[in-house]
Amino acid sequence: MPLRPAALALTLAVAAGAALLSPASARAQDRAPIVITGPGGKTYRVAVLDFAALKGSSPSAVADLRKAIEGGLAFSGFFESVDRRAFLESPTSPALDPEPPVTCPNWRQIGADGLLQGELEVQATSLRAEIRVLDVSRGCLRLLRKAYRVDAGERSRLGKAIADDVVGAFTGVPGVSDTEMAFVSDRTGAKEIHVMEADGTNVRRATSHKTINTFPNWSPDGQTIVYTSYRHANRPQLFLLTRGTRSPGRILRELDGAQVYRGVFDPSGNKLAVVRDAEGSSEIYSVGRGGGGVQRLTRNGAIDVGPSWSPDGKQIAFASDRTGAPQIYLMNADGGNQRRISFNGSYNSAPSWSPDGKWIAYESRVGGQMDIWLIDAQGGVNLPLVEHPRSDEAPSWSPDGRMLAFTSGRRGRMDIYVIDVNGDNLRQITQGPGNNTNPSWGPRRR
Amino acid sequence: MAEAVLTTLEERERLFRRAVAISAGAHLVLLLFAVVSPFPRSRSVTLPGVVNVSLVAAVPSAPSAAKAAPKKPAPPPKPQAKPAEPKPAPPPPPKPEVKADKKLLPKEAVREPKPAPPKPKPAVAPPKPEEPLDYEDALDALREEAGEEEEAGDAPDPALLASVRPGPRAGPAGGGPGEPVDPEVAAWMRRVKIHVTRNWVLQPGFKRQAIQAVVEVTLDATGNVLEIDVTDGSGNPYYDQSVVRAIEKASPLPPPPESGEWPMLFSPQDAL
Repeated sequence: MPLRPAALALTLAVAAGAALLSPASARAQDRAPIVITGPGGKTYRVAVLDFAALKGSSPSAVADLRKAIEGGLAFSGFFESVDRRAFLESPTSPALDPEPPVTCPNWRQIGADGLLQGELEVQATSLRAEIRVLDVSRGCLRLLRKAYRVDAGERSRLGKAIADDVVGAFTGVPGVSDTEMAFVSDRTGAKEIHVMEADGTNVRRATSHKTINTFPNWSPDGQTIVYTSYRHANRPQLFLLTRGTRSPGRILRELDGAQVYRGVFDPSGNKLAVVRDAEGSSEIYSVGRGGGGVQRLTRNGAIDVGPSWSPDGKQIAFASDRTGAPQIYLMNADGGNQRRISFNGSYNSAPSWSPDGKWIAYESRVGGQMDIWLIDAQGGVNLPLVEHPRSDEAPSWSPDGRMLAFTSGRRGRMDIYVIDVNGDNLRQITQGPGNNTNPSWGPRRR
Repeated sequence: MAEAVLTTLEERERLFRRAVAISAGAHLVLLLFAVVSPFPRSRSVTLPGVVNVSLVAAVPSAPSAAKAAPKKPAPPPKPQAKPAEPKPAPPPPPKPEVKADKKLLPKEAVREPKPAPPKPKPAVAPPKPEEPLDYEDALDALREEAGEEEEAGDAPDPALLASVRPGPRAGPAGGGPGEPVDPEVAAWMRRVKIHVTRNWVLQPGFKRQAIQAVVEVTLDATGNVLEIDVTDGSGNPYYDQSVVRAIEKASPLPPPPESGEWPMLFSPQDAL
């Protein structure tokens, strides 16, 4: 569009004027950017207040809740609570109705990134809480306001649920302190399936077959655990353990007769990838959860084991020794397009596909011991995550993809540890008794 | 713990040496410029945007490689060879060294393959005797910075840098090789970098992603942050928020050479 001369002149005049008016404020485009690489701050610091005690609530209930929240934040590995002794304001939250004012500079001054206020009401059979999360760095902008109601029996979960939401308010992905892990423990003498909170508390035994029970794996809805048991005729078979039922585990009938070493739910929960014997070796099949639909996916004389679904359910990672030593392979969910992706080391196994689909964690034998490595799903990037002279095995991702649980023998007996995906924040989750192995990190609870 | 401390020390020393080298290079450039410059010597003549932070000037400009780069800057030379699995393979030449007692070194392992630290350009000018004075100052400033900051930033990823350079120019004015650098501005930018870096919290998971955000920060003369404008967001609002949070938290910044808008690029160091 041609400019008329007058308009052109005006435009030029305005431009010149603008240039004259702001001689000092150089345009950002003319400057090289200040490049900020790699964070220096390790953690978000949240001031967690004692919740306002509404009716039925006691000081001890409020303090317990605060400690649970602080614990849940710490579990994330990149949140921490501000020391209350530094507070310039009351450590007790105002009630949230009406929305209370806040003196933001007083929180900013003590280095808080976030402020968590709330109120707690204890009723006969349940607890009600409400929270407000403020982003102190950004002028105490309100990030979240949320109400909770939990049964009295689950009060220990309330603080973790709140902490996970605080993490989510800052990062978009809630924390996972309010999740569970299934694992194998021989603490009672036999290898039995156990369940615990992700932080290692509240360990419950889930089977008591007094035989070998292993390879627990959660269904995506968190209601069922599939596991391998030798309880019938000392032959390995798959069993399903469903939450809330008293039955000791229902056998996956359609696989009767075969030796079945392991089952893994697909992301829909409707079928499982299964490792079973066939023609003298072990092969991977897929099978419907309710029976039928049995499909053989691998077919060769080598051992094919350790299936792990991609999060979209379209592919399966597995380990195969078809070239002579175990390596990591991928295939389509129908068994097509089988291809090797690991080429380092002479023993790579136990692949575990990350929730975001980008990485596959696996155990790799280097020297005499197992380490845990990450390889991207294209096989292009391969790097060590956990290295130690003692063995580290059986990685399982947290549902948010920020952490992995694994088994390690670094302190003698086997225990379960957690590490974040950057290799930071190694924590021991189980402390005996016995050996604790094969963690399966459960999904978020609903 | 000891390893961590060592690593930090090494890091610091490396950074320090590099910074000194850059500073020296920058001074030489400036000196040469002063000698041949057609302009009168006066601070007000500072060319627009004649700034450089740490290593930018030394980074070979790669306008065309810009977009492809962020994904995988120079695929890490993997320690493992990737042959078609010779069966009786010679004992795997594996892994970046397995020391008996090191526990968790993924970050180091990732960092190792980084492109060699860019060098300042010695080619530009021969050393001049007049240097040492400023040089000492720079050293002191750096010591001070190093003392108060454990993990001063690292070399910017050249590929990522290249990718944000707008326009047809090889780089922003002053960012290109051979162009003069205002040491005052450069020193300020280094201080800002340290200051902001310290306040930036990056959640696990972003660290290995090729993700970046560019913001324009409007500063008043005393360094107060007046406005933060995300001009080229990462696509992830939470990442961008973490960036805004870092700048807000770092405010006030050290007083800038001049008030106005200053661009900042945020990128995880370990992006692959």
